[in-house]
Amino acid sequence: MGADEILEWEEEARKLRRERADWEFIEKLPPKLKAALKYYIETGDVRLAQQIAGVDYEDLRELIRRARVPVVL
Amino acid sequence: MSQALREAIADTSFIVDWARYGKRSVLTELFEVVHVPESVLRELKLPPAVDWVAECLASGAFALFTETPEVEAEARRLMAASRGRPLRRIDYPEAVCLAAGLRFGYVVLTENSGAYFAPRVLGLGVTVWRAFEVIVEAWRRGLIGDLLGELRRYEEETLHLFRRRDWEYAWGLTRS
Repeated sequence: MGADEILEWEEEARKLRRERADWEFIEKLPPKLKAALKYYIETGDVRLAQQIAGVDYEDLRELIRRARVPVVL
Repeated sequence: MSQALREAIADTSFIVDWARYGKRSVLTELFEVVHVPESVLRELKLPPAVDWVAECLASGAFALFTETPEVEAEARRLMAASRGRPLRRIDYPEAVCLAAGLRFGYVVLTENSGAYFAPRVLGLGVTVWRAFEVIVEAWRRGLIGDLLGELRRYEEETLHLFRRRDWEYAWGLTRS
């Protein structure tokens, strides 16, 4: 698989995450959680977002859901 | 009924989302057994995922996978190989599943982009499926009737979107 297809996927995924996110909800979050969600929206990297947030995987996944940010894969 | 596929191994990202899908039971109809690594099981703590996995372990549809030193070493090798490549790095729980898939021939189930693209970028001889491939295979085997409807259902129930290319592929399948 070429880098082009991966880049195309990354851009499509980022666009969808940005468009669908509940930004009002995200902006009201405590700083670590807000930073983690913004990082996730930009990169789709749930593992590093989890480290930023300082929470367990399922807790972050729930937060991503509550913020209406889709997983795009 | 068609014969079940061989065995699969599932990571946290797959299980946490698939557990929310209304037709989640097709997974255990597709595979003889689905392995769950100990490192994945340690991450599961909320319903519906933890309850569903416990039920499936009790019924024998799932089996606990103990990470051996060889699998751990291969996982760490894959993690190192993934750095500096045009894809997201692979983290340990996902790397364990890829290593087990390579070692034992399991189909790897994941919703992690690093793990999903790894076989193609790193040239690995392992089959990696997302929910998309699982639902398509379930449709091919007659376990679900409406492919497009079930893909939409999965999207709604899990807040997971498939890519445009995937939808084009699915539309193509239903037209042929």
